[in-house]
Amino acid sequence: MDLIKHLRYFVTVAEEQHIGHAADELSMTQPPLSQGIQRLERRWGLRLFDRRPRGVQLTEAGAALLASAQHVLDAADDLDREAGEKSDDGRPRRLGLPGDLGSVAMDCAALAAEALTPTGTTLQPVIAATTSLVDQLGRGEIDLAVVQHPAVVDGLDLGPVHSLPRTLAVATSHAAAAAHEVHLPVALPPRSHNPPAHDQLVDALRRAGYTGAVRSVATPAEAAALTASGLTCTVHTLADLPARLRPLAGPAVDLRVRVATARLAPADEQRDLVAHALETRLASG
Amino acid sequence: MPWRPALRPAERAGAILRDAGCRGWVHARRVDDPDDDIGLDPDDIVPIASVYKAALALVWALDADAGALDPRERLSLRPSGRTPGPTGLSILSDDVEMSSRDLVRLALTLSDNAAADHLLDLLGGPARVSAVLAGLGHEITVRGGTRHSLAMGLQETGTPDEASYMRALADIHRDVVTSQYDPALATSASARTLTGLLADLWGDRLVPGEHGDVVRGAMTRQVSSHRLRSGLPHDDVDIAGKTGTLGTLRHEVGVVTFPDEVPIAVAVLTRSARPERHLPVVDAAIGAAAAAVVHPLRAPL
Repeated sequence: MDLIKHLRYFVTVAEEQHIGHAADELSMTQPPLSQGIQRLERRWGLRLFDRRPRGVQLTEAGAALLASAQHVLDAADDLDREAGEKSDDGRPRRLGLPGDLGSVAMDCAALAAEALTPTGTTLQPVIAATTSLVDQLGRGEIDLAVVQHPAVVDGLDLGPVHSLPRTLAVATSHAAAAAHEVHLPVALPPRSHNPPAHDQLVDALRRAGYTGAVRSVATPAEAAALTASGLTCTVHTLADLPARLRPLAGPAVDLRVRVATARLAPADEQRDLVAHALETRLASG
Repeated sequence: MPWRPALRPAERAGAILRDAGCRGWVHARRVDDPDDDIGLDPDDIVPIASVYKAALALVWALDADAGALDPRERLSLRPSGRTPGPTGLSILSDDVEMSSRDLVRLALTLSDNAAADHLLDLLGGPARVSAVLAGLGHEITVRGGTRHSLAMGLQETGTPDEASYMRALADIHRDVVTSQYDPALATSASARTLTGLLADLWGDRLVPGEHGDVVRGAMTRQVSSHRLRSGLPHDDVDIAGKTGTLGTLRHEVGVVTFPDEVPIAVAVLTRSARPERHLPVVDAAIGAAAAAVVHPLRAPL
């Protein structure tokens, strides 16, 4: 017996005090509703309604049970609603972005949000280090991410590698014309944010003749401030290089990224819309 | 309740390899005791690249012991179709006459691709070698020698020769994929299987005599010392090893023998995120990871 369905019969008949009206309310005919009420009475071994010439009236036992029945129905409705919110359509999509993407991160977030607008879904950007984004994808905490390449990425599905132009940068007042003439430390995000990409970047600087120390800084803003003050150099995306910094030609330090999703993640049209928007933006450099 | 090895050394090995930018698979055990072991995903099947030459050498020693081949027979090796590579017969232009036991020595000490492919042919090819290994309980699926692996790689990357294939695999601007990274398509084994194979060689169970000595001696004289040896740089400690390298794959398996102690078999298999051909940070991490799992297993003879 479908108890929830029969409770709905019970509550509706109690409200309408009339089998015919209740059947209308429930979009059904009268006989199956009457039979349903009788089944419920047999299950519980008591009479719920007294039949009257112009309708029905709750018995004492029926009146005593009505509140509990209503409570069960309300709880079932709440459960349905909660499950609906958890389902793929309503929930905001979580997009992971690495902290050192510069203004490209803003572009990615804006374009992803635009791609979701027609579906009525919202976007929630999550800024974190690449190693953390990979872990969050693996645990299903985010739906997709832009991650640095190279990175240790077991268990992820990955799009093509995109290159974003990046440069070694010094303060505009700095005299150096080439990497090997810069004797300042280079301010970079912590190596732990993604060891292989960090090592690859430092190797590229060494390859270009840069011999300075590597100074780990917490944020791109700190790297820019230290560099503008003439205390360090840094590596910055070219498109949004601050006016107080000057690019130095030479080292091949482009930032490489790719769009990642968890392997075996369930199909999700909204996530795919975001992925498509990201691929388009990143392919344009 | 079976005894469970402590997790900490394996976790340390994993952290060392992650910090070097790679995924790692590790297994270590004393050659006389398969149950007291340390492993990091030790049963995952991984493409093993040239590490397979050690398995090939074991099959050669068994065949020689059984009298199925004469290890001293002089073989005429023509340059046509010779497998290319950076060392040994692979770099020679002319006819060579050589015994199979010397082919084993070149395949193990120098990771000579041409010598190993000659041996593979001599031993009956991939199917027979896999079957012999399976008969010993070693699940090492040989899907072809270096010649085969190279042919697949050239085709998949659309490159005309070995040098351009190697450059394609090392391209930092793309993620180059080849079947040779796929455990279902390349010659593959688990780290635990590889230490089991070494234990068979060193435990004197299978090839106690002269032919086993050729294999053990050649692995002791391996010229590569940038991986396992870098983590155990002690002159009185013997290391017999075999490396394997292809693109992002960097491996070494070996037997580490401290004086008056039970030899320890160790396998460290890695796949790095970076595709560059020269990654000393990964080579050193293989040594450090090996040290992390070998030391806790040390025991006196």
